[in-house]
Amino acid sequence: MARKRRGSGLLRWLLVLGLPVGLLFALFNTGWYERVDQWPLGITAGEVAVYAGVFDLRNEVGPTEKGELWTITTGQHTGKKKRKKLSDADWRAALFSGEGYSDSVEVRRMAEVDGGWEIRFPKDNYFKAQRRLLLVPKNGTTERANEAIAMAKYLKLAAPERTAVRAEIDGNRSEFIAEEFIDAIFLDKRGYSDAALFTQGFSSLLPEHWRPDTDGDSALAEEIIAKEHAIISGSGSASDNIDVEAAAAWLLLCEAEGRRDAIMDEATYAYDRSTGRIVPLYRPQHGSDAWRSDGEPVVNLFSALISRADFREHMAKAKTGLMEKWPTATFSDPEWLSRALPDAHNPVHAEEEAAAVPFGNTLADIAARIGCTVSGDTLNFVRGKYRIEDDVITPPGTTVILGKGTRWFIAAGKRVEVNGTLVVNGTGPNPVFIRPADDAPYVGVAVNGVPESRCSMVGLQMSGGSSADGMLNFRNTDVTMIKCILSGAEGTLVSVQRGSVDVSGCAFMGAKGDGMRLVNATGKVEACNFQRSTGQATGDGLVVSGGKLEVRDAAFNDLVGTGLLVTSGAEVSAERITASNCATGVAAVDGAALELRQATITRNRVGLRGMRTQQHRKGGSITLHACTLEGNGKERELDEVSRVVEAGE
Amino acid sequence: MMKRHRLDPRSRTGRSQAPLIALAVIAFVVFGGGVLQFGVQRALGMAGAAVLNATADGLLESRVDHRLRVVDLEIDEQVLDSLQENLPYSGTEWKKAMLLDNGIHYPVSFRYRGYGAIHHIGNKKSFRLKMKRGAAFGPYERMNFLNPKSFNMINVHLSYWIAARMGVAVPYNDMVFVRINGKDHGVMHACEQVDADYERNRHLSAGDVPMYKGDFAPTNVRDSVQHGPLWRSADNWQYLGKADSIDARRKLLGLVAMINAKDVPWQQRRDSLEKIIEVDAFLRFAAAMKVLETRHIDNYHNQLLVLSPRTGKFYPVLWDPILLFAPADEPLYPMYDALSFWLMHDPEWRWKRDRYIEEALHALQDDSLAYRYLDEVVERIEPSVHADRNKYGVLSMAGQDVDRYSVLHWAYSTEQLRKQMAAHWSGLRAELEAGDIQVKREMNNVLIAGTGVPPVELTLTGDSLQVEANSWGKDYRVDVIGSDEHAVRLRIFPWTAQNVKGSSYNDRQRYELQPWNVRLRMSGGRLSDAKATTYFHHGQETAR
Repeated sequence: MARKRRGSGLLRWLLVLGLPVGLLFALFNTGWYERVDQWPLGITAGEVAVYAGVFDLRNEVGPTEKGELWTITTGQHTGKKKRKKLSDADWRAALFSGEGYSDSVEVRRMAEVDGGWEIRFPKDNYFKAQRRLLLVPKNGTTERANEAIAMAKYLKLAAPERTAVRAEIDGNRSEFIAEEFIDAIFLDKRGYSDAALFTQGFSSLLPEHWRPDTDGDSALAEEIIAKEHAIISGSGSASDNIDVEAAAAWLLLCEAEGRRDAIMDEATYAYDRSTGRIVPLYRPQHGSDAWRSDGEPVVNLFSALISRADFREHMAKAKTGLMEKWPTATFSDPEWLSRALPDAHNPVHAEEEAAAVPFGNTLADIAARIGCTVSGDTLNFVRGKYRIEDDVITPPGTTVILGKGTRWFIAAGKRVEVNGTLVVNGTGPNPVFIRPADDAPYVGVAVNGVPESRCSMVGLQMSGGSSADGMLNFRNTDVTMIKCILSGAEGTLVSVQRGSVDVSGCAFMGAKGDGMRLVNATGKVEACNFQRSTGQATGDGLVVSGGKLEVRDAAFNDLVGTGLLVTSGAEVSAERITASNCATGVAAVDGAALELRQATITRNRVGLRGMRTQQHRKGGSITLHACTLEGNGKERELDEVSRVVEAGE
Repeated sequence: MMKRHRLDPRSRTGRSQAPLIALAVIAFVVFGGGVLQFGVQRALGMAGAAVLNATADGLLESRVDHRLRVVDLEIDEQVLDSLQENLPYSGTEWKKAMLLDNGIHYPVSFRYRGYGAIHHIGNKKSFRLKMKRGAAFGPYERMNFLNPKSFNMINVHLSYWIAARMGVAVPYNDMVFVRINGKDHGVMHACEQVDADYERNRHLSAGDVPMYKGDFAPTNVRDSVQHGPLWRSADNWQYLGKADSIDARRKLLGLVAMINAKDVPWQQRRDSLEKIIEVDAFLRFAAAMKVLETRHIDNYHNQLLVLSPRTGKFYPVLWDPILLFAPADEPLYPMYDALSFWLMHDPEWRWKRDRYIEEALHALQDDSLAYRYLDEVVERIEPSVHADRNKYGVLSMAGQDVDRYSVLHWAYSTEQLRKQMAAHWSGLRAELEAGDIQVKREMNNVLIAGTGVPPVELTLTGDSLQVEANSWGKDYRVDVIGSDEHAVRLRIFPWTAQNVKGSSYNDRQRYELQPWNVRLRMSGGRLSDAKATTYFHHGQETAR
């Protein structure tokens, strides 16, 4: 009896100790405890975490760890400088593996985040369609940042994707947020294929941030500065210079998050060349930088925008929507922006300095200077010779009409910018000429369309421009071109960015850049000649980037680039075209689809080309219907993601 | 009995008092020695500061949450010792160090910098770091960490801020808290070392730009180098950077020649200067010099010239200003160097400078911008000042009396700075606004007389008025700035300032305003009314 009692005692002890332990293992390995927000009886989350650390054996994952597991093993620095001068913030080689991917990459520590990493994948082997990724340590601000990203997306503000991952870096496992890097690929994915990134800040203490940092492209910086000055001075419509919806959303989000740093430190923007607008981008806050002075901002585009009633309306509208979705969100009024310091680089008394400006740009000034006539908001040029010695920039809403026999001679380095509509009424015997006044080239003629504007060019003969954006450059306007001859430019001959085109009977020849470049445009091009590049040419004949186009009866001859190049998801149908003696006859690139009917592709180095220029993009697709391909050095050249389909296959 | 008992060293009371007595004796001897060596005032100041540093600062918490950027530096102690052997001369060799920022170790080069006692006497020595462009302080490759010159610590930082908001080019600078080898070094003023990469750092140009530095010779050779006034010869300027210097040198030679040329008509000199320097930038600089009331930038040192690749002209960068560092009787138009002698010579340029001053005073004082910024900096710096046990400053008028001071010095000095700023700017505005004008009509002539800061704006009303204007008179210049059938608006610059010490530049020269007297002749029309007012609206007079 006594032995039995001892035996049952042992069992009791085993049961008393083992059962709770077993229950705890069972409890913590089901993982349901992770879903409990509030524990009863005063049990704290910290205590639960301690128990979970002991009893949760699932894949050796900690109680709160989520996401994929990535492994990074770092190696030597890859920089060319002496190693002793390099720090952890310099790139070093590493071996990366995660989710079916394994390759050599480059990594470096993030300078602004303690414990953060940046990963650069090989050019030819992106990871999840990313060339670069940020690994930001998970901390107390992660949830807030995730919520802000969700808000940004709701407001249609471009923001990077974020996902929780676990990363084991040199044997140390930790939780991170993998964040999409803001670069050209980021923009590309969001439809800004013709945009450039820049950073800028407006703290009075950080003058190094005042000027847009465009990675050394000073011409682009000047263009952006001109846009900002237009916003600050209130000239024209703000929406011509900045994406107002995005700006309102961006500012609202800064206020919701209390992110003065976005303006006072450095923020990231895109400059969309196709629309000529600045687009604010949302970037989560990484470093705390609590030591930064609040200070006062210098005058900037946001302090100018916030003073406009229409912009405040945009903000109020966005705020209402946001409040419905996130009722707990709080917003402070960005009144501190209105205390911005005046622009220190402006003269003391603008009106006095303005009086000293030799040439004004009102219609009357322009007319008096050049010798044309003004009628309402229209500048009329009748038959005759006009010498343009200084830049002409018309007020918004202007129509400029060049009558038959008009001859413009533009001085070297000068440009004409029509903010409205350009109409050229040339005829066969009496064309309209635009030529350089001297031996050196002028910049070009640019048209920034206004709503409903439609430009018409008939019988225009133009040569001698140098703008890389196009000797004749149309933005946001519909364009008709009939029987025009464009030749001899240092860059692209004609470019159209957003709008519809109807081009017929025109000749594009002798350019160093492209013949015609259509970005996100729709319409048709027929019976046109794209011919012969000159000098150190690099250009193509007709470039269609995005949009939809029909091409008929066009000829592409003797071009150093590609005769017809369709790219960036464009859809082009080409009928009865010929491409001969070009480096490449026709090409479909980066997700573009080209349908060729009865085309003749002969004597080119490469007849058909399909490719993608970056890893995250799709290849090109060319469909052939009764086409002739002969005498080409190589009939087709395709990468692994592009294809050529013969009709009926 | 009682008395003897107290003095008996064997008694408990006597034993407890003995150290105090000894301390008092030692203190008396030391203080007495100090009095003999320094004089009463200096010795009192230094002793008081030491006592306050030990008592007041000792009561403060040394572990605080800094609101300033914390700069963590690691360097071999032996290296530090060797650099400190014979300062300032021994500290100029670059040594390896590590800068810790956000968990990253950046290799940097370290050296001590500064010639004045404030930089190298005491425990808070000024130093310079050289690092990669992409390192913790990027894009700046050379950063100075300076022992603040004044007890308030923020004087120079505030000066830069004021000048920057007046449109003057300034270096990047901020207040920081420095730790060296884990030990607190204290609050310092971090300031970009301005070099030929000044424009590159601001995205203004792709590479180095021509830059000239007008300063004393480097610390290690300063005593052996003869240094003449900067504007006497182009050779007194040091060329910095790798940019092509041919054009810059030619322009500097031209500028020096134009400054020193004698018997050149003013119009010719003015036109020549306008071709070589960005006059507007120099006038803003002159305005800032007056608003800051500094005398620490002069004909010998602290001058920087950048040749702008955009305009092909020189513009100045402000370097080492000290707010309110000038004698109390500083004139309205001081000449701080030979170039300013000519800048202040022209009445129109003086007017432009005055307008920059007026505009700045409006923002800084009327809109309280400067005080607001001062408050913000004080709030940011305060915890770090409390934690700083290493406050070293100049405790007397003798520059070498560098010793510890206390948080009370800091608080008092900060308050004084606020008061002195207000007093200086109120006085400056009063100077600009002082004066009176009288307008008289004699037949068809108008006589204007007065004192104070020009120009005068004269509005003449009548019918078909014709004024003999737009000509340079001997004593004044008249410009028509507006006219219609019934009125003519004129701007008159009386040539009022006289150089009080001869015709060429010497130290401590000034232009002083003289009473002016202008007679305008009407060559046609019928004058009914003449109204004169000055730009600064201190007086207005009408003659009918």
